[in-house]
Amino acid sequence: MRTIVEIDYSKCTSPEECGVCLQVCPSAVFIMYFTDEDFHNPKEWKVEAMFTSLCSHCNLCVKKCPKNAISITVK
Amino acid sequence: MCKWCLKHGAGGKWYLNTKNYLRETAESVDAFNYLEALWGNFEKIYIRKVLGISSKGIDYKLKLPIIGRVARWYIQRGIEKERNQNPLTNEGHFGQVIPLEEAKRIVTEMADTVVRAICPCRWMHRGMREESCLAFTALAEVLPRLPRYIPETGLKQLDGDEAASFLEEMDRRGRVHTIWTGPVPYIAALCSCDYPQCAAIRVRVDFGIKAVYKGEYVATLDPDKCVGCRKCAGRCQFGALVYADSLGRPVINVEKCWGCGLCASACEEGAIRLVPRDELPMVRGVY
Repeated sequence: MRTIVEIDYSKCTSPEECGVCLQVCPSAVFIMYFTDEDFHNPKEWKVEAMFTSLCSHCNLCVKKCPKNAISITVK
Repeated sequence: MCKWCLKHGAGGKWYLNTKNYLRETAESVDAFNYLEALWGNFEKIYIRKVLGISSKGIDYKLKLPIIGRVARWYIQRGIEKERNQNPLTNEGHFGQVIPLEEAKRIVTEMADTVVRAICPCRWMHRGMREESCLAFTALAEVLPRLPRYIPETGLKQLDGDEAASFLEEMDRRGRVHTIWTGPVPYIAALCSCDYPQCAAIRVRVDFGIKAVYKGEYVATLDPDKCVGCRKCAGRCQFGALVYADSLGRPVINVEKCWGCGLCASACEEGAIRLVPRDELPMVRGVY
């Protein structure tokens, strides 16, 4: 069994402004990182579901995401 | 004593060796450039490829029979590397759990400059800006160039007593004190961690990668002194101390104990005591 957490980046806003999924996840599955190479001035931050094996399927991130950008599936 | 004590401890514990805090040591291992690159790229350490394998879903990959074992060995080798460390893949950067008394001794007697910085782990995992990292000389010098780790109130230099009372406050709130190299043997920071927001405790507990070592102590309980007040219950983050209701006192599993001393500092009766790990054959040399 493998959990897949998909984030729709066309809907997801900057985690610096929102960050709801980062904060609600009980097992801290999500991380945020910057995509711009110049780390002195990080502009484009992105959320990534990093540790999906620790996901407990509580669906808090799906429910709380203000943009409905997250979906969880089990394969 | 762990292997780092034998290599860099000068006869004692490696983190109580004043040499590892000196500016000269930092210069000799080029800690300034290393720390700027490490903290500057902190959020990307997980995203980078390991042996050409993307880190996405690394937790599943580590469970694979052969690939997982090779990747685990490679990551561990990187963490313990002592020469030509690449900060972008977290080489030469590891930590160890220390009890409150030693943490206070470090900030009052050993580290020259101590500043409070935003914790990069909490920032990366939770998007929150919490000033819970104490940065020492080289890191304190590098931090002004990394604006996202500077607290709103600015980088304020703490004197020994301020830093010690900050650590006491963190201990009261239930944080594990950890000491960090950057790169080994230079000691760059003292953190107040909690699972699962701490990146190192997370990979150690969940994936068995030793980015942080267990402390030099383990907690033991004196059942005669224990009054069953339950103040220690709930302090343990590693599942080593559970309150056994039928006994009316907690029981401690020394194999799971990390020696952080949180249970001991909560005990008002002095019933929980930290003893050196080496005294117990079961956990001797297990870090």
